[in-house]
Amino acid sequence: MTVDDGSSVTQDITDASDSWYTSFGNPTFCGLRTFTVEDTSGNAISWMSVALVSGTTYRITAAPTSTDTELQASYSLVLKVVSDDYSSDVSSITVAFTATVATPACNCALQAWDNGTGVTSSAPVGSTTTVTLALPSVSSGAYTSSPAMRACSANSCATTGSFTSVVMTDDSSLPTWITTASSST
Amino acid sequence: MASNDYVVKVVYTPTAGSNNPAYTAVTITVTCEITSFALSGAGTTSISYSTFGTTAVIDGSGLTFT
Repeated sequence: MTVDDGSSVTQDITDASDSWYTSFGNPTFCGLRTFTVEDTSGNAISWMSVALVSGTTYRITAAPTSTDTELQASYSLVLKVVSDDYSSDVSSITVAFTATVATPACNCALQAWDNGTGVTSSAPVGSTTTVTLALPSVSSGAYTSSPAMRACSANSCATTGSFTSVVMTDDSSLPTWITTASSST
Repeated sequence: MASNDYVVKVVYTPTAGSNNPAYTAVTITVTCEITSFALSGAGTTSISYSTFGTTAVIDGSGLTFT
């Protein structure tokens, strides 16, 4: 199982069989089972979970999100199966597998922006006044906000764009005496 | 001097971004000062001088025709 840091993947598995299941064909004859994912020292893996989908199908979900890059590594893990109703009588079984948390590709679509600062202008009747609109800016923490943004080189994402709407605050169109023209972004 | 504010808001669509900033970009204060006007005759009732149509009407009832 391989998953990019900051993303998630799932893997469906079939419930472990037992002798009663084999003999009577009823997977719940001995009750439900609990699945957990642990490392080889028995510590639960916080970014992995197992949930019953339906019938005898369970789903492993791996969703790691590093605060920096600390989760980006390969792990030797075990899927531990315990009988809910007979946990004291039936020993758990484990299935070993490997999971790899990979460094994601740079994704500039995750770049966050802050609003521009509003400006004021006085426009005497009978005169022509030109106002330059303040552009928005890339958020200061944009390049540390997610694993996929941390994978981007600093300031490598585009900082261009365009005003796609310019209207009055009540959403009405600009009056005829206010016109707009683009300069550069 | 009479004035009225016109507030313009914008939406910016970045080439690469997770959000489209939407904000008040400019407030235009239109000012108007009447320096003189011609009187064609003495007014009678409801004398006013409209500078912004619906936004600012100067009460002229106190003006004296000379």
